[in-house]
Amino acid sequence: MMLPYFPIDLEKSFDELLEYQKKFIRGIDVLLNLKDTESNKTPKELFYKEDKMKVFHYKPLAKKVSKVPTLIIYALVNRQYMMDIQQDRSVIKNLLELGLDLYIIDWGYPTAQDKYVTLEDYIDVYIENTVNEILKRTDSTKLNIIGVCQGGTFSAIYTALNPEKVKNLVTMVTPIDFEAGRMAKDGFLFKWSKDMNVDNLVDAYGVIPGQFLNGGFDFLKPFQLMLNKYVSIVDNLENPDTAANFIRMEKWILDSPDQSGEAFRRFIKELYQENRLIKGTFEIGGRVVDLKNITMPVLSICGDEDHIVPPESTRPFLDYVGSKDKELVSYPIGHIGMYVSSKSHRVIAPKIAEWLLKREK
Amino acid sequence: MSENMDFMGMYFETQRKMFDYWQDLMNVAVTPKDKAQDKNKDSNSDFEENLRPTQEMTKQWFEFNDQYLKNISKVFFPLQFDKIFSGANTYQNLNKIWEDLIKTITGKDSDPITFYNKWIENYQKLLSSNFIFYLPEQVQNFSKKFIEIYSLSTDTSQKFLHPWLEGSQTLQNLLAKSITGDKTAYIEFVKLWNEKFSSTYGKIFNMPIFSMNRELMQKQMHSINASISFINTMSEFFATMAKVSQETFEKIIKDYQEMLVKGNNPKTFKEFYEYWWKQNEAAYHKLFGTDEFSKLISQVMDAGVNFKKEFDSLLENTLKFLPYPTRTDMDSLYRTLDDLKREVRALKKEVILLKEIKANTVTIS
Repeated sequence: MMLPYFPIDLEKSFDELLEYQKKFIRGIDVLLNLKDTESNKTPKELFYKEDKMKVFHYKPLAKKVSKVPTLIIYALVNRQYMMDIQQDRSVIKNLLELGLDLYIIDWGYPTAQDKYVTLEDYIDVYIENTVNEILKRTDSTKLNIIGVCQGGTFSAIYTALNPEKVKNLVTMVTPIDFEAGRMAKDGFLFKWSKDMNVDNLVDAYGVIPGQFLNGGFDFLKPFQLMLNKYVSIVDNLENPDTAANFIRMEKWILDSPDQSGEAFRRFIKELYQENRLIKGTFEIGGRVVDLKNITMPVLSICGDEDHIVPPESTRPFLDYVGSKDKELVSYPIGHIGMYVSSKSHRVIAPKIAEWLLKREK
Repeated sequence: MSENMDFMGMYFETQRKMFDYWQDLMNVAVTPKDKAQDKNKDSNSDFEENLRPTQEMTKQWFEFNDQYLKNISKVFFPLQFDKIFSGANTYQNLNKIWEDLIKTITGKDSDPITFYNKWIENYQKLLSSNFIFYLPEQVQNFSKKFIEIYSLSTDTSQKFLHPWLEGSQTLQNLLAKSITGDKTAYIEFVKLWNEKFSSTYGKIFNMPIFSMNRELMQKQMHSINASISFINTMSEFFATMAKVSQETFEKIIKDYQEMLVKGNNPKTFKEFYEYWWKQNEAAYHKLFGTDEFSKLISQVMDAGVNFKKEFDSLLENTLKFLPYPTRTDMDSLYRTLDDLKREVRALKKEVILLKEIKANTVTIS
């Protein structure tokens, strides 16, 4: 009903407010009665442990399982169970059902005593020992690696240094060209990192608080992530499944481990600020990381709407590797949507499994 | 179930009130023109009459949230509940602004300037109350500590500083201008303040100190100096953020008025809300992409970190007589542990290698 004097639909507006209020109250009732909000439920067992790192081996879910083990290397930022956030949209479960033999690294929660853990420790010790242990116990000579976000950068570095151990490499939403990321329209993290006095930060904190990074991620889209997300969820809170998914996702977002200072210092300084990986001047343990050493098949996946790792920082990767069999796939999806969206379930996980299985022989 | 936990009771009571307000609204809204003619009302008073039930409903809802639901939220998923409540409150506060906006600029004597001046202060509060909540916990705690130490540290010198600030008319004028969002005035204020500070009291903070407590006093001085620097940088940061929100608010009012003339304005509050947050998001994205903002956010971080370092150092100095290890002690221990861990790791490798060599030698022989 439009009022005679004003071009405002007061009746509809009032209806909407009333409806919002009803949904709000019913939603609260639903939230109070939620039972299952857990993630990380796909069956797995502890395979290997070193310091705070744990490696899990998932129980196979397919009749015919790939003979090549596949290791998932997740980022240090946030937690790896994003890949297994809920059973009906679990990337892990999906990949297992499609026949992969999966291992995943859980980096754990660094504490004050981990302030001196370096990138060398992560790549030359933890990843290296994990790979060796998997190869040894599965009697294999090579494995597949799926690297996720920062874990993709680690995977590319590890693979470039140890190409003989990697059969296929998959990188998902992985920053490689940090200068290109800075030029991207939404590459605010890359822009802001450029002027950051990371030495001062690490010297002061030792271990960088996870909430410091979380605050930065929220700040990228302040009104969408700090306000509208919580206003618009009210529309769907009446549905217990939606409410449970919302809580799972919120728990994951807030579950942000602190970062080992020394590793953080080099990652920001030499990659975000100096773009050394692309320039060919990045070193691990005194060895130069040459991306041309990556000669096995490579699949690189990026999200066109990714505001955390803009596709511009991912796309150039394949130009720098030495592989002949290489493929770039992009989806009209954001950073998180890559793992939790229906598209991820229907399209992306099957794409990865199919691509790896095809190259098994 | 206790009275406080009678969720459904309160829910039904709220619904009953909603229904009453809805009836009131319908009674007024169905014949507004006739009523206006009969009573010779102007459009504003008629409109206010139409809006009253909605405003009452909003008020009731607020009370409902504050008195009851927030208590529940402490028990279940507290962080998520807090964020949802915070979002809902901002949504409702924005609704109040919207109601006043349409009332003001659709009335006979449309006066967006008065509206802007009336709401701008509350608008800032509305935004900051929502977003300050999202600062990382450490930053929130840090800010609290910072305020605490700053108050303590400056307590003794407050009498000394106060007349100095009060006596500076220029500073006051610039500060007054800056409150209305004049970023240039604010930056001028900060510069002038820094200038006066460095040439007078700054010297005190850096002068050599001779006494038994020399070290502690020096650290106190450095901590105060770092806190002042942090305040200045934070102030510039918030002024920059506030300027964008104020300009966007102004633009929204202006655009809304134009849309009303053309008839393509958001027809409901929900539509207005969507329009409002997207306009704000776009404005901040424009700011975030600039080199100036990138430098400013780094300066804020650096000033905060510098203050933390000075403050930590002051705390350590204060606590060193107590029988507890300080952070420096622990860092030294962590370093030793880390070195030992690396040594053990290297030795393990050597042992494996030696075992392999030995096994190969045995096989060959």
